[in-house]
Amino acid sequence: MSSDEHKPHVVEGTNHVIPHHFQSAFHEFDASKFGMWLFLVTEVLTFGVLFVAYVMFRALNPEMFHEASLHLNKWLGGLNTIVLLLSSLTMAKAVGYVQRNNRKRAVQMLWITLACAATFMVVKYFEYSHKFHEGLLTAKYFTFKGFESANPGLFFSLYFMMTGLHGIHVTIGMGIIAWVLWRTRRGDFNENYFTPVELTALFWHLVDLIWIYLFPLLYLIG
Amino acid sequence: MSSQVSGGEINYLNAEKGIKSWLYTLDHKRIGIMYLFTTLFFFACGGIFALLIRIEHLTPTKTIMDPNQYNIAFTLHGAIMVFMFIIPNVPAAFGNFLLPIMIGAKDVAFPRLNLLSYYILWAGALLAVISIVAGGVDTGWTFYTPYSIRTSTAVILMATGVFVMGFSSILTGLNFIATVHKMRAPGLTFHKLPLFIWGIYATAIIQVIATPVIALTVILLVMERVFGIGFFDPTLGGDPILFQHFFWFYSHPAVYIMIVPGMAIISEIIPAFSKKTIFGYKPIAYSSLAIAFASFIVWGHHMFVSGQSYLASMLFSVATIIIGVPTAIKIINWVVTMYKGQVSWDTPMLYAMCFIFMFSIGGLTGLFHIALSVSVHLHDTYFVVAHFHYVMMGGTVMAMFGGLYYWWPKMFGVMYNEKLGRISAAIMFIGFNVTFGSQFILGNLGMPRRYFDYMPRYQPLHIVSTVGSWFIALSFLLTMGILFYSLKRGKKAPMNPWGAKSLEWTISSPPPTENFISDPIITEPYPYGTPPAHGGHS
Amino acid sequence: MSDNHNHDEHKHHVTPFPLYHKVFAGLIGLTILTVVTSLFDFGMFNMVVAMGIATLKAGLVIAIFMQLKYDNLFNKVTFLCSFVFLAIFIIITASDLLFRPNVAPLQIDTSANAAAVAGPDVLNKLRISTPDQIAKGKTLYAVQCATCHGANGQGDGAAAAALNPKPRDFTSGIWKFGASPTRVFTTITKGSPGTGMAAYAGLSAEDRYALVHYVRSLSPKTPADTDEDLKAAGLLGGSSVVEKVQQTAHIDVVLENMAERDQVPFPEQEVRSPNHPGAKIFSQQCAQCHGLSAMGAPVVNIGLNPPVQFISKSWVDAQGSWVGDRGAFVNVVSHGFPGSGMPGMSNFSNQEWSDLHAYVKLLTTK
Repeated sequence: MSSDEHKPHVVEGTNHVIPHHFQSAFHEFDASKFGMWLFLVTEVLTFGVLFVAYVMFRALNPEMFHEASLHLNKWLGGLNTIVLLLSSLTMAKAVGYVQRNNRKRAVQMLWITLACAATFMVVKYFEYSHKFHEGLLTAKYFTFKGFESANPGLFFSLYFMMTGLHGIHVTIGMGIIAWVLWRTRRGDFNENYFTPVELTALFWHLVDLIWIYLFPLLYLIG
Repeated sequence: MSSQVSGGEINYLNAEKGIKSWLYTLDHKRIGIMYLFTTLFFFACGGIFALLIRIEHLTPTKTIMDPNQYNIAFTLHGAIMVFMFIIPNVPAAFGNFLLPIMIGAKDVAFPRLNLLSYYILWAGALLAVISIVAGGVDTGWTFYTPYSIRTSTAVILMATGVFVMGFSSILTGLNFIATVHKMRAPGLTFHKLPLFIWGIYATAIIQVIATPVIALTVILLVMERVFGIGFFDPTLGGDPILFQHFFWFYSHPAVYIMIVPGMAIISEIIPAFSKKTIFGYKPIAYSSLAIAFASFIVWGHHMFVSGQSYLASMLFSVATIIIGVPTAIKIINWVVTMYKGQVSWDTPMLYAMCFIFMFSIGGLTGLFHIALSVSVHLHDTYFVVAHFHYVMMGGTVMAMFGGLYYWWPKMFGVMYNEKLGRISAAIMFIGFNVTFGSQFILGNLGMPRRYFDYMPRYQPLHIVSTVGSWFIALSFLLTMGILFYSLKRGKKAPMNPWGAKSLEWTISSPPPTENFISDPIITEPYPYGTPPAHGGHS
Repeated sequence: MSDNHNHDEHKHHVTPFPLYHKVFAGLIGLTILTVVTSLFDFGMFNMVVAMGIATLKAGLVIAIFMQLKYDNLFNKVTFLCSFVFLAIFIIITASDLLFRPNVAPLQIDTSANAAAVAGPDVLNKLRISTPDQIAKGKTLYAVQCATCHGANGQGDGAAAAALNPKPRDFTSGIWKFGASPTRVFTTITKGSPGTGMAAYAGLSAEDRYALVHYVRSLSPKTPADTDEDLKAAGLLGGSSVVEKVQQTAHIDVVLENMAERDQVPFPEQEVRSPNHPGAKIFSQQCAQCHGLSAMGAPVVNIGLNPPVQFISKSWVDAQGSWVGDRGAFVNVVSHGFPGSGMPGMSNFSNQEWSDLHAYVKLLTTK
């Protein structure tokens, strides 16, 4: 390797030192992004398990799914969908602003993203407490009377598992976004180095992606 | 090249001293060594449970434990061996140590993630230990519902431990895929990579795609126990076979996580000790990938008698036949590699021969199970137990021992006692075939697996099997003794004691922390046409 | 795939914001569309429409927001592969869950006395065989019985491989617990504890008698109900009490009786107190299985197919309630232990019962 291999390579305009096992800033970015895509693959397979369960139980209990879905509020679900789509937009723009070296706007976008995520969780809270109140719980604890079809608890178990796992990802995402927001404010990123923002955005878009499927599958069984 | 021969005075082992330098290390070699000792320790733990099971089976009724303890014993044997030893061992220990060196890189793509993976393994192992202390689990390592929902044993703790350890595996796989794609030295194309790398790479693909499924499956099991979600509980409208689908969607590819790295080691040992280029480089390389991808469509062959539909059973049966082909390609190519080679029968090569013999038997006996009708007869008998021990232990573990002896000089800069090493291989060969060969017969005669007691007519074969297990234990202890003794008293190892041709043999033994002092020279893989510049046998 | 050239000239792709806004508008539009279409019924295309719209939205997010459109082919292939594997997972699992053979769900009657629900009049009618019952029994048999007893009732079902004792071969003409309709009904109802034959008390009486008549139709030996059979079933005379399902015998006695065993040495025994009034009854009726002085008897083959070997334990020091209490003793002996070699023996007079009980009590003391 070249003689200045021991001199730490710092990305211009930031404090970021390129780890010595990478050849350049782009090498690090490219490898890290690829690593993130691999991680998203694992997330697809993780949620995929629940989608498999959904497909099977819905195919075996079509009327029950239809009947149970009526107990979900599609307007709240729709609101949450729009909120998350907005958060994806602002997250994408946050990355764009960092690339354009506009720290102020980037931070603003990240704040809006966080606010959207929080709104999502608040709406979720109301939805969940309504279910608890009505006894629309998991199969074993299901107490709501008035279903014609058998085993309605199964739908709600799926509902809680799928939206619950998704909600955990939203919460973790909020934590990561908050951290990235703090670092952006600090001036850690610019057009030459913004990998953490980029990776966070990819993760957040996946969270949005999952909800894009959950919404019609759970709320809109027509 | 000659500048690499520094005699290993300053190397990755002594460059930094003190326990903190190990606990906070980002050096893939140190992480690999830590994984090695950790997983070998877990292997010993799982082995102790195995010995206890075999002692119990000396007599048809109670020998040393009651039926509940027996259920716990075989469950823990399986869970420890699968999740804490065989899945992490070759990829994380050998893979970590060798991968960057073999591709001419300084480290893996994400070194901090690498260290995190190691600690995650310990965290999961800790949960497993707590589960054992809390009374253990008696469901079998497969956690089948509905019993795993109802049993009062520490299922939740063990399931959570498996969940956590799964992340270790996922992150290791992720790291390796990124490393192979992004960190190769200039000029090192895929078709110049050692076959060990192809194997580790294919394994990593399986790790990334399959492991998330088991992670969520065990979480769903916990949810089932805690919240009664009903997915797997027939009394709540669920389907216990759905659990099996989820479980085996991971666990079948998992067995390829177990064997493909072992095969990868064999692909290194055989050319080195035949002094001949591997026959059929591309077929072996691509067969690793073929196995990896095909492994995802065959999981239901574990479920032929579970009650799944005939359609599914037939699909799985046909698909499973296909997967034997790439495996056979490898075996044939290894054997042909040895033909007209200058074969030297050092310890690694002896273990490789054990592998070929025992894995072939294991693989062929797998074919018996693919036929649906025969599977009904053999399912849940000792025949299955013998089959999977022949492939997992007769396969992967033999390859692991081979790799251990092969790369020990590189890792620690010392030579072990070759004669004793060969003796350990011989004892292992005898012990293993006695232990598990008898179990084929037992199974075919009707001895069920996971049964605490058995009909008296099975006793003689059980006694034979148990005595065999003592030879396995003896061989393992001997190997540990040989290797640890070499750390204290072994002769200094040269850079290339075996005259092998991959990149790790072009740097000192032990290697320096940064792996390559000067740029690695990339050649065709296994260029045994040219005589070795240095090294040869000491 | 080779990324090992100078990376520094690579420029990051910067997506223009107007494109983001357009995509966002599209996503909102598609969301509204999916809610609106959910109000209409497209029959079997409901899922297709919903998932189609969702996939369009997903495509926009992935391609533009996640910038996969501008990314290298490698990342594209990597991410999209995950959906391929998910599809494999769904399709193959569905090939099982959605293609199971059509079996009517089993109605489990968990009420405690399912057997007692059908009154004697009903039972009396049911026990007469009819072609309808045999046909119904054949269908039920395939679901409930064939796994062990075999498709043709020859005791060679798939599960029989693992059972010991083997399931009954109905074509053999051998009936362990009685061949008449009421006896077979009782066997189906109570099962055979200690063997693989479960109690099918959860099936309705109609279903059970259907099975009775079907399996009897396979057998060369089919005697009719005798008075004794009817009496035992509570169908004779005014008694409408049906026997409670007796599931439990002393399990180790039953297991010992049913498991194949090697020869176990028993002490040579002589009749104790031969002049006791109960001694004669005992040595004639009981000793061949229980031993002349009730210290257990060796393997006894009673000529069934497969042969049944059992061992009866020694009664010395036995302390069960059946020993002390005459009523309990009579109850036990007259009912026997279903599933064991102990038949019901009730042909004793009052005096004989007393003598026998007293003698047995004597035998239990050293």
